[in-house]
Amino acid sequence: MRRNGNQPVTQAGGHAVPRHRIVVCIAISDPVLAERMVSLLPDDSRFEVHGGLDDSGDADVILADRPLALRRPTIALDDHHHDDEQDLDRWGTDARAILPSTVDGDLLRAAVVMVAAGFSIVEVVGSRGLSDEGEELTRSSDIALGEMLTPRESEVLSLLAHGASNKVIARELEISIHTAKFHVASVLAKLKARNRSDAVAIGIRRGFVVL
Amino acid sequence: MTTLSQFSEAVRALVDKTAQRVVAISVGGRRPASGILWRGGLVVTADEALGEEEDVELTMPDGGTATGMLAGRDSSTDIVLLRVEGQPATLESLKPASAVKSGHLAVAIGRGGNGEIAAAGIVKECGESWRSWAGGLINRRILLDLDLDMRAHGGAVVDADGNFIGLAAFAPRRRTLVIPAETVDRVAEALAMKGSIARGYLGVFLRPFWGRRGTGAVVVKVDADSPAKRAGIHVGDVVTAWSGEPIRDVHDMFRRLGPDTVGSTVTLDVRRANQPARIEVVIGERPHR
Repeated sequence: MRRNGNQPVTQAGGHAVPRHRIVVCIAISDPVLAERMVSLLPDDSRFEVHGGLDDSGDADVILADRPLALRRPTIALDDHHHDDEQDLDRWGTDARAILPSTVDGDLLRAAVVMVAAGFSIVEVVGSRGLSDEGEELTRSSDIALGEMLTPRESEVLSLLAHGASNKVIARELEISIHTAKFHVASVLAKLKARNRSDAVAIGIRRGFVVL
Repeated sequence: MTTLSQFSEAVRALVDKTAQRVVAISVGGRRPASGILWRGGLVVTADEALGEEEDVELTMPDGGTATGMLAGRDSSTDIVLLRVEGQPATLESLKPASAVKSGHLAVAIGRGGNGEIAAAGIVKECGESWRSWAGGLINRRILLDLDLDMRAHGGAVVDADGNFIGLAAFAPRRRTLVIPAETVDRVAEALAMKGSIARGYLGVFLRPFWGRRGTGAVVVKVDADSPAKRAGIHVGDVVTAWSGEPIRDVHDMFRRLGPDTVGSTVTLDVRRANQPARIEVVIGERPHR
């Protein structure tokens, strides 16, 4: 149940088709780099590539090699090594991904699609990154337990985290108190929680609870 | 009459007087607990003592029984409010103890099947305000040097003048903790009015994140029309600090989003695209349907 307003995908006739092509604006001062980026983004059914900043207001993604503060999602091409303090404002919050200028076509195209869909991309280096955590969770029973919660139970768990009583849950979800109690009991059982506080603690640890 | 027997009578009188405001709570299949007649027709007890039950049977100070119905619960401060039918509509407010310090006498009173349950000791520790696991603001950290009977969980703790120090609860490892009178009044009043206490809401799902530059909480989903969405928080952003205080994991965020944050503006430090950024966000309340 993803609610990403600007996802460039829509359902039509049962098939996922692009609602529109992703408009990419190239704002790169180095002509050689600019040309390479254009060559990596074929003007095909997925991308519509513009040179210069004239159309930046309509751009889904801007490819830039310097900070421009356009308040549009930007992929920064930057080979500098950043230090936390002094670079705090270099790219501002426009940058959703920073890629080296040597980026290959597959990575660039994937990044454009992700950033256009409202994601930001953080590179993780080292053995204990997010990617590792993903594997770890897949191996453990955590993911399986999470997938076992029905959408209704997930809502109930979030309501519990926000301190709702059975009565409040019933009112919020427009169900009977009896049904609310049933859902709460089922959430506790599935998470192997002793009580509602314990269920919330487990849900928080596993990322099942909206904060 | 010896000084010792005078002391004994004085403590007995304290217990007798306080017990007029303490009820026994019996919850089907659970260990019995106690509660405090806080205002007319309203009983407060510890959230942890009540468990999952929301309708309970009460034994009143006069020995009669009554049904208590849940009026609201706030697990972040461990306080539950029960509504009791057929009770006087008004009751004198409990007089709060002032300037409680470590070393002061403390008497805990609960109610069991055989009448009142008393324990006496001193205030072991009395610190500043603190935040519970779930981010509830508890006005003072008061621990008692006395052994609280499980059946007195949720009962009243008073000082040598019979003034109300707070509600008897358990800290981890079965230490006796007091939820201070000030916290009880603040939370119970809000529960009496609204039935629940809203926590701070950002509208994000978070996962723990371990990166090269330390740990944080990574945003894996943003609710539409939420404070996070409006502030421009994106999926993939890693939250590393809340108003300058480090965020090490998802629980740090949960704890920060206690009820008193609703409406406040906080600065989140995030790592986006591998570089630091600052985002101001106005904490909201989870939307109701």
